[in-house]
Amino acid sequence: MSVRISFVPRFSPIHQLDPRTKGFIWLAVAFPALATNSILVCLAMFSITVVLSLAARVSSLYVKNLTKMIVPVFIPIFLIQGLFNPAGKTPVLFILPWLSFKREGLVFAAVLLARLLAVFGGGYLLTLTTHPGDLMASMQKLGLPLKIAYPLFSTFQIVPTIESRLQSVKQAQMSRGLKLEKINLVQRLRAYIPLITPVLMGAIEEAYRRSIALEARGFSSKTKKTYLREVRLRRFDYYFAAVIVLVVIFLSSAVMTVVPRAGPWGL
Amino acid sequence: MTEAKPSRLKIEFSTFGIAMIPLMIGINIASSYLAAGTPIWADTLGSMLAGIIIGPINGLVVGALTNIFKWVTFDPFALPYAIVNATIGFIAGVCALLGLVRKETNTSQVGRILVISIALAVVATLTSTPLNVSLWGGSTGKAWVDAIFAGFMAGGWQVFPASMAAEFISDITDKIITFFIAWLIYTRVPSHFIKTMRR
Repeated sequence: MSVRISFVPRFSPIHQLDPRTKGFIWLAVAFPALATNSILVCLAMFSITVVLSLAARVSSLYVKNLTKMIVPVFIPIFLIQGLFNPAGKTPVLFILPWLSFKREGLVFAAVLLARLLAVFGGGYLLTLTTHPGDLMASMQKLGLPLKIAYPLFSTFQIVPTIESRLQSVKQAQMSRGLKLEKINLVQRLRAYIPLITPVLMGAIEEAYRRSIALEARGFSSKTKKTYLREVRLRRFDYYFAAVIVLVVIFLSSAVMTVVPRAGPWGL
Repeated sequence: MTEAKPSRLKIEFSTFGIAMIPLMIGINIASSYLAAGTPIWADTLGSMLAGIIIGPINGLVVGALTNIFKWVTFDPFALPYAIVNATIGFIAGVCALLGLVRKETNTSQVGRILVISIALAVVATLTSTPLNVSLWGGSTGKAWVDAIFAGFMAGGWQVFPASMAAEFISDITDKIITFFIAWLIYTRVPSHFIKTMRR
């Protein structure tokens, strides 16, 4: 399953920014994309995030991972929308005499793709350049209660332990004769119970131990808590956010004036 | 599981309840990993178990945080579906609070589980279809469901009903199997085990 944190430690101005600034930039980039629904505006906004990833020195990873995550999902979307979207009228490519890709459907799928790039690109950049600890500290500064923030961020440590526990349960059950290879669907579903039950029991015990450890560290104490990692908004954050907002306004209005929109199915 | 009288939030967000949340998120992820070769998602198993064992609000939080976590780590499509996962955990928890999820294994209990899982499937369809349609034009991201969706579209259906029908067919299989597994696992957890740890 290989769950990894997407954070990549680098030394760059983007990494130095407060997570709240990055969150704000994300919203600023996503807003025109959602408001206009135009492919070119969306791509312009996405290109801003690409430039930012260049500045953060994670651009190759950024583009590569986004491609890896998005392409397998969008191949079926293009196929289905291109072939069967009821709005499709003008055929562009015939596969069979009665089956063809239609322009409207393809444009619709392209709008979806461009919007996804613009909206998720900023968020992915945020997680790529922010240490989870910083993210947690800044979310608490924004008012997220510790009782929600703690479980979310301790998940990063716990998921790998659950993963390895599942592996050892698998091996233990196989040594007791549970078949897990070359089995049919029903057997595979039935194998769920001997596999997950021990993991759950272990999880309950682990939660008990963790709750004691947390209490020993004053988890539910009402006093003000201090953090190992400190986040604060500096002057650089404000300047950076202002520059990004100006760029977003300039780019989106420039695109909208150069290429006026031609209806919901146009570019 | 409704033995204590202090407010529900206090029970479900005791330190033990909070420590359970990340572990249940881990079970959600482990379960969807185990389900990789099957036609179901099974990514709500942990939310259902959290709802049944601890309570509806805990199930809701587990569901929502699972998708936020997946979105932060490896799945950019997961965030909007936090609503779906959270609702599933919440409803499973409410059903358990109402005493519909019991540990006995007889026909009437199996019937109850079946009814609850159909309700869960209906709720999951109602919450996720608008997301599917508005975000990806109706696709779901699981090949066999998309094939059904494409079939309905080829039959001349509009996007929304076609997507809803495909989503419902997939959700009903997914939720019936997942909730059955959750219940069977729950019957195997000794109740004193949870009680002594919860206090």
